[in-house]
Amino acid sequence: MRGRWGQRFLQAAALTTFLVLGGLTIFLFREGLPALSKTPFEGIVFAVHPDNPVSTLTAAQVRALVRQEKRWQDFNGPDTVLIPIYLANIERYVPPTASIQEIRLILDSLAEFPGILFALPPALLPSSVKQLRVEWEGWKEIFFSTQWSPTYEPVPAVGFLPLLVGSLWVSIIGLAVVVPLGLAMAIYVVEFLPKSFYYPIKILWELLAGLPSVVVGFWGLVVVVPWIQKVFRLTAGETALTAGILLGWMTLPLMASLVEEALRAIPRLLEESSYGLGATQWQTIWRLKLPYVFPSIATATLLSAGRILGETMVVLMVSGNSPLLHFSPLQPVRTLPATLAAELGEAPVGSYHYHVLFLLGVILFILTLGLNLSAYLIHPKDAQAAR
Amino acid sequence: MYKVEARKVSVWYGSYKALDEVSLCLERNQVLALIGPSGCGKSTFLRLLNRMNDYIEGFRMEGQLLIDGEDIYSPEVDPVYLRRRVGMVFQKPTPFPFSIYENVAYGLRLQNRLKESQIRERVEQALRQAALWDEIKDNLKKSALALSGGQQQRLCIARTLAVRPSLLLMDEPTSALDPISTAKIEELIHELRQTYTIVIVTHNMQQAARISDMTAFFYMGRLIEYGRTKDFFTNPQHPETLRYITGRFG
Amino acid sequence: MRKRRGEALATLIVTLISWAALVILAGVVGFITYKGLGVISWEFLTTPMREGMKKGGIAPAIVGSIWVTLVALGVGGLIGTSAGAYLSEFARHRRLKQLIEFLVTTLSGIPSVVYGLFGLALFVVTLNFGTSILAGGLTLALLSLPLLIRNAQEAFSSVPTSLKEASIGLGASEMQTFLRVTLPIALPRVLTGLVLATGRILGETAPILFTVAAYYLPTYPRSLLEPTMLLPYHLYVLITSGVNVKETYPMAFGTALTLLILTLFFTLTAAYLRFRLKQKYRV
Repeated sequence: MRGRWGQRFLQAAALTTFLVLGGLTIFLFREGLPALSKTPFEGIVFAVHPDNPVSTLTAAQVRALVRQEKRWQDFNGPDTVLIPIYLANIERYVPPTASIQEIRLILDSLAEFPGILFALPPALLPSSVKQLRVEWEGWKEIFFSTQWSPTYEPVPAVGFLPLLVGSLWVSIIGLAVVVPLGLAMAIYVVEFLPKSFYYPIKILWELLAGLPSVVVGFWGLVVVVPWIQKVFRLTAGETALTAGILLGWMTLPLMASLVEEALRAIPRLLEESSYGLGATQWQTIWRLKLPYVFPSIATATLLSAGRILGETMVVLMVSGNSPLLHFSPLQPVRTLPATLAAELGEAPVGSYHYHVLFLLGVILFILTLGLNLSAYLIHPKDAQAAR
Repeated sequence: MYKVEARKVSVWYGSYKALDEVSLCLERNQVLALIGPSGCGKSTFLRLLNRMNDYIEGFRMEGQLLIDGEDIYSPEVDPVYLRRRVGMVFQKPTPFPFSIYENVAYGLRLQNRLKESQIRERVEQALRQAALWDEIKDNLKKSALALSGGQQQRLCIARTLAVRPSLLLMDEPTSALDPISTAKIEELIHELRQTYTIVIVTHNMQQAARISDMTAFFYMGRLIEYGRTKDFFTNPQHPETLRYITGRFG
Repeated sequence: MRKRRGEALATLIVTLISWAALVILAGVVGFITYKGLGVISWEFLTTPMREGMKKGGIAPAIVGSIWVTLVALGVGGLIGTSAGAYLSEFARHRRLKQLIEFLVTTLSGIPSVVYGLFGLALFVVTLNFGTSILAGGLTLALLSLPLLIRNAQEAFSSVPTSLKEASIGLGASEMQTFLRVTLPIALPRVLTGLVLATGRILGETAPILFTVAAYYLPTYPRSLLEPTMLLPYHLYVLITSGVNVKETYPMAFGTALTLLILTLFFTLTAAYLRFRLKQKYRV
């Protein structure tokens, strides 16, 4: 009977794994999808002067108004400057010691101004104003806006594009480092390395793979960032290039060991056939071996891309953390995981910001899952061997 | 001048002596069969001829081995160029995972001086020589791995012929094939002797008797007997040869 | 012999690249050791931080890291090894087995920060553990599950079938065979996997950011439901968001070296064990 219970226990462990790993997906989506249906200004009402002809604006238009990129006149509004009043700037008009009656009085007098724009909880809103409808199209804001400032008041900007572009830059540079160098390392170890060096070098690979990313980030910050700054004559060395180079370097052991295993698995006779036809060592490598292991190279590349895309701490520390849309690798960027790491700690649980960050997590999850899945489909054995 | 001439050739792998003072001569356009039990040194001797043993750890060789009068182990000889003159076919078909066409073109592209039209010509010529052209001429772009075992082996022969070697080495080329494919390859060898000198290792004495002009019997690293195939099987000089060809060991 | 310059050049290039990558590794380790060695002292390792992290030691971070790692290893090791054993020895449904293997493989590439999100949503918020050692440890346990499962599965599968069959043939039940034959033989490999996982867990930063790590809490945790400081997060804080980053740099180097020594110790041990096992079982 003991045997049966033991078996049940093991079965339960496997099932737990299954459930937990499946639950991961469900939880991410459960917390992330509300970002598409909720609005960031729950409990906030927008209002304008009753004589203001504007009655509906999009979120982007409000943002442009508050940032003074646009004026009321641009939306057929009153011919006067805009005075925005929202929770984050209210103390500009109201002394911090004011009682609630005093606050009301001040706000009431401000409501007289024709260019006024309130974004306040209903309880604070003066009675004389006219409500302004602000349209929030979540998915449009998220996927097409080119700005990311999720705590901006009164209307946050939550465009994923700058972050996606940041991740893209870092990944491209990382891959440009890891693919050629990883191949070179694999070829070297299989073709040229004296046998007695094999285990020492493999152990060094393991060490590189086991280096804590926060330590790599620290070293990058202290050594590589100033170096990049000097070499490219930049004002700041924290760039996509810096992060890409470091991530590519960190990922070398993954790439190199997968390709190495594949190269070793090439049948001896096939290799001899190539030599037998008068091929040199490098001709055999280029024309036979690399084409032969191409599926493994593709798998290793996809897995490396996933690894680079998901790396958090190094990017957080050396990429400059600037969530702006940049089109040069020598600019600071902010990647998806770095954004999560930097902001989730400050986003109140259940807030719009919180849900948007989870949606970002969902996107990251889908991207990396896609990469791993394709790696698995191309070459299941290799994908399983990666650690 | 002989096509192949071995003068007291000895080979060691580490401390193991694989060949012991082997000497033999082979005329142009003849087929030489190397026979003997497993581990007797016949494959080692074959692989000496295109320096395929160079890569084996602990390999060491003494004596002289001449092809067309040139010592192929002298320091001036580049094994890569030697292998373009001395082609080799292995005991198992070893098609590369490319198309049929690219398999045959592989050796030609290594030398980098042929135009694509010339390559195409020589691919066709090689496939015709290997008696494979008619079967696959419409499927040149197909993967070589899709061919049958016998076709694959003929493809490997074509691949070797395309480089235009003058000496052809075959290491038990039919050991992995069915009888019909074997017959086709033997027929092919018969054709090829018009143009090439061939050295073939075989386990199969009937095969040696059928296809070769000369036969060499190796036993425990030594060349026991060497002579014309006709005489060899009808009138062996050495008692061990007799025992072997009458099937008492090996 | 005709010289092949191109070939020699190519060989030189791959040689240089291969060693350069490792020279940089030596550079990183050497740099941190050089800068950090002077900072590490008995006092540094055994006392709490003082004066806005500029002075004192890092003991609470070390203790916190140990606690979280123990929770993660305990839970992850138990579930992972059991699940690996089930997949390798007992799973009868080929389909189910393939499904779990597929899931484990694809999930092993999910970024650690995503596990952090999951840990926040499940352990911290939904199960209401709060930011705590328990939440962080469980998150890290999940993170290391794919590695541990695969490792255990390989360990158990590497035990020769002939031995298992011999045991069954002597009248042992499957479970008895597992406990008395398979498990003892596979144990070294299982432990090697645990050692490797320990190194990984100790160095992980992203998943602990929102599940357990405290910015500044110079006391020792008294229960599993408290947050704590941890080495990797403490290092991160010291470099990027200390009160005065320049003044906390020496502390950062000391912390980095401590973390490096700990993780490299486990990684090296695992590598050593694995290569020894490989040699032992090579025929």
